[in-house]
Amino acid sequence: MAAVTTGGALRGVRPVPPRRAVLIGAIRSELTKIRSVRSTYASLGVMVLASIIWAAIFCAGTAAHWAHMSAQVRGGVDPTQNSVQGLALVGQLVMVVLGALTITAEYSTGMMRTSLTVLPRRGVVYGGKALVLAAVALAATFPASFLCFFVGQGFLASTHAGATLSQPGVLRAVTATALLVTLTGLFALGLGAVLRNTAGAIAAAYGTLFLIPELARALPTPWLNDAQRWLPGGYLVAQITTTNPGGFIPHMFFPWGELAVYAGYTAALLVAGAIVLRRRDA
Amino acid sequence: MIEAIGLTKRYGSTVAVDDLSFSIRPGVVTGFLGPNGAGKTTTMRLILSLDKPSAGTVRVGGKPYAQLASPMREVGALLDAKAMHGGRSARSHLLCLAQTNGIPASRVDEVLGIVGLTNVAHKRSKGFSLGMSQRVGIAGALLGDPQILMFDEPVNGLDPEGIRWIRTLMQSLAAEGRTVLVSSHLMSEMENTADHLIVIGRGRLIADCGISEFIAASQHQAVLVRTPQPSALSAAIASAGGTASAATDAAGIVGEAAIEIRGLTQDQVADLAFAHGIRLQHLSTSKVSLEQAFMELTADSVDYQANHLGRPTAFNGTEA
Repeated sequence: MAAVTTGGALRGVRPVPPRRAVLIGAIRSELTKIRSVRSTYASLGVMVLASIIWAAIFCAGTAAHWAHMSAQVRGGVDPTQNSVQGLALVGQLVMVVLGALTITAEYSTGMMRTSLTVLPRRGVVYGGKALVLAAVALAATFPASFLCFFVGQGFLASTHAGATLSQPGVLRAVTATALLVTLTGLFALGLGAVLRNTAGAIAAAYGTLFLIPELARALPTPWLNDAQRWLPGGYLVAQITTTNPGGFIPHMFFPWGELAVYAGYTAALLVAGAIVLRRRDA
Repeated sequence: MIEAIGLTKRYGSTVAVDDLSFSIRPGVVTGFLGPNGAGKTTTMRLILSLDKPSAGTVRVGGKPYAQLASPMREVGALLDAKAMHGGRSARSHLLCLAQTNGIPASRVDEVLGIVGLTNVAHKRSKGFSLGMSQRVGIAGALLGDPQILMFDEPVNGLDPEGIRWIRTLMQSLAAEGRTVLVSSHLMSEMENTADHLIVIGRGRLIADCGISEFIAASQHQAVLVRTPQPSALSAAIASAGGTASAATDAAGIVGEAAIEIRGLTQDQVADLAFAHGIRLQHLSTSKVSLEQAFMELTADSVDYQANHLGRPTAFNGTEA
C-alpha cells in the first residue's frame, strides 16, 4: 500500500488552483467527457452525412426539373435554401439529442453526483458543459453548413442557377443555419438541466420546436402571425435559410431577428436549468 | 475531520436524517452502520453538499464542503461504483474527474496502477464487473491524495479477495493518519475493519463509540441451556430473578428447544438446576457478537422487518 501514501505524480503540482483555473479545469473535463463517448461521434457523423445527402438530393432534383420550369418558377427557386435547409432540420433533430444527453446522461448514469462531488461549484460545472457543447456544435455545424452549400451548388452548376457566397444573403443563410443548429443544442441542454431525464427533455424539445408551431396553424390569422414571429422552431427554419427576398415571411422578423428570438428562449432555458441545478438536490 | 451538528434532512414528511451530531476523527477507520434505509447514504450526500440539509450543518476539514478550494485534494468519496458513463473508458472517466481539480494525467495512470486496473484502463466500463467498478470508484477517490476518504458500501458485491483488498486499503489509509469513513449494513464486515462505530437507525444516532464499547453496551450476555424440563426450569429461573426465553441460537450450537437465560450467570443457572433437580443437557454462555449487538440496538429502527415464521419469539413455559 506504500504507493497510496506517496501521491507521487501530485508532487510539485500546485495544491490550490486559482479561481480562473477552476473554470478552465471544468472546460477541460467536459471536453474529455464529450470526446470519450461514441454517441458524440455517431450523432455528429449522422448529422453531417444526412444533411449533405439532403443537399445533394434536393439540388439534384431542382437541377433535373430546371428545364421544365417556367421563368416565374425559376425565379422562386432559392438555391442556398435548397442546400442548407436539410442541415437546419436534421441538425436540429440530432442536436436536441446531443444537447440533452450532455446533461441527462449524467443523471441517468449517476455520474452527476460524481461530477458535483469533484467540483461542487455547480454553476461552473454547468457553464463548462454549455461552453464545450457550443464549441463542439459550432465546430461541426459550420463546416457542415458550408459543405452542404458547396455540394448543393455543385449539383446546380449545370443549370447556372447556383448561388455564390458573395451574393446577397447567402453567407448570412449559411452562417445562420450553423448558429440555429448550435442554439438548438443549448436549448436542449437547458431543458435537460430542468427535467433531468433524457426522454423527457428530448420529447419536450421536439414538442416545442416541431409540434407547437404546427398546432399554431389552427389559430386565427393575426394570432398565427404573432405565434410565427415569437415561437421558436418551425417557420424559423424557412425564414433564416432564405436568401430570396420573395421567400421571406413578411410578418416574421428578418433572419437575425428570428435567430435572436430563438437565442432569447435558449438563454431563458439555460438560466432555468442553472437555477434548478443550483437549488435542487443532486 | 468531519463534523456534523444537528444534521437533519426531510423529504416531504419523511425524515431521512434526524438531528445527527458526530465528529469523525483522523487516524482510525470509522464504520458507519445502520440497517438499509437508515440514512447512511443521505448523510454522506449531505457531507458532500450534494443535498442541502433541512437543518444543521456539516463541515469537512473545518469548512462546508462546497467551499473547499480543491475538493479532490481534501476529500475522496466513493458513493456509487456504477455511477459512471458505461460508454467511457476507466481512464477517460478518471481523467475527466482529475481535470476539474487540475490533477495531471500521470496521476490518473498512477491510481489505475494502485487499484490494479492498468490492463483494462482503455476498455469501456460498461462491461466491468461490480468489483472492477468499485476499483475505478476507489481510484477516483484516491486521485487527489486526500486526507479524508468516504466509502459508501464499498464491499457490496465483492468477492472475498476484493473484500480483503478494500479492508487492507482502508486500514492502511487510516494508519497514515487519514480520516476514513466507511458505511455498511454488514456488521460482520465492520467487525473486521472499523476501529470506531457510528450507528444510526431511522436517521437517528444510536451509538458513537469504539467497537468493544459497542458490544459491551448491548444487553448482557446470555446463558444457553437445553433441558427436557423447560417449564420447571423457567419457573425456577423466574423465582431467582432471571428471565428465560427461547434461544435464537443462530449458530446452531445448542440445537432446538434451547432456552436463553438473562440476568443470571452460568454458575447460578447450574446451581439452580441442581437445587431443583432439573436435568440439563447443555449449559454454556453465548458470546455476543457485533452482529447481535447491532440487531438489538437497531431492532426498533428497522424499516422493513420480516415476520419470524414457525418459531415462537418468546418462551411461553409449556413443554416444547
